[in-house]
Amino acid sequence: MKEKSALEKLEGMLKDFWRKSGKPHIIAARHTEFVVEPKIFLGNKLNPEMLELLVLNYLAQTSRQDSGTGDVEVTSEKLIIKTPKGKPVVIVRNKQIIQQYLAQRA
Amino acid sequence: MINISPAIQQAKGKGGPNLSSLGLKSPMEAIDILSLLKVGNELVVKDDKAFLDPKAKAEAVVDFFKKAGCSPNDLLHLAAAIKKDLKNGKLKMTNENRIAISLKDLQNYLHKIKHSQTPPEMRSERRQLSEKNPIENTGQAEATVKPKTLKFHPEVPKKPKPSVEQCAGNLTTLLALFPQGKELISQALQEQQLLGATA
Repeated sequence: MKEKSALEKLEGMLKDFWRKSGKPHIIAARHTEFVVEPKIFLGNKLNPEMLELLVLNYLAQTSRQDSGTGDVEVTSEKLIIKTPKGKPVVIVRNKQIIQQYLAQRA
Repeated sequence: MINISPAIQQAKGKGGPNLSSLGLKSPMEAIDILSLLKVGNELVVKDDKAFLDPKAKAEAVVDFFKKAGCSPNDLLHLAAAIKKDLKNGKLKMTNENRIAISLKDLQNYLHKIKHSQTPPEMRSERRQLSEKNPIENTGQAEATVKPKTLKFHPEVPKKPKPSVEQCAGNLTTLLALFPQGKELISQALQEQQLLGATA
């Protein structure tokens, strides 16, 4: 059997993460249950639902010490998550997520 | 009745009307149609031999309608209108293979041709040649300068920005957001670099 590539393993890991942390859609048949899994990579982008889940998870885990060091830059309009080198990775414009993050920081 | 206004507009500005917009294939088709007319009791082409000679046929048609006060451009519109009515079944061929119309019908056709107006959406403004800037006279200026009054169609919705926007590649984003998979991400990055792909 062909060994899985790192990307395929990573995809599997993200799907596990989705099942645990996300809102998996389950279709129940009489004797079977189908879990609808998201497609993780959509071309050069991540699945938007997956991306949102990862962002929520990241912000929930971000401690007070991390914030303000350059990884997360937040204004009332948007929240930018950056790499340690300062390159923006994700821009969040969802006000609910921003307010949740600000409330967590306060 | 045929809507001939755009073609008339063109005819006034240039050498002649646009035949395709009139539904005609060639000027000779117009002559052929008009040569078959019988206005009242008078035939447009009296001598049947003229049907065999296109030049004689054209001369006969032009002479006939010149007397009726038609210009050559009007003839094309008249032919187009008659062709349209033939197709609609308003006019029919007689047993003598002629198209019989009354003098009043002919006057109605000519009246409509002369008094038809271009609808507002078909009107265009004529720009005067600029003496100061010769570039404006060519098409170059129009291609580069954006019209000030340009408006987008209101029905086209503006694409909303996503609530969470990804700015970097997949693996770079995952490396920042998903520390649990750091090892796998590094491996995947290495694999992609070996393959020459981008993350």
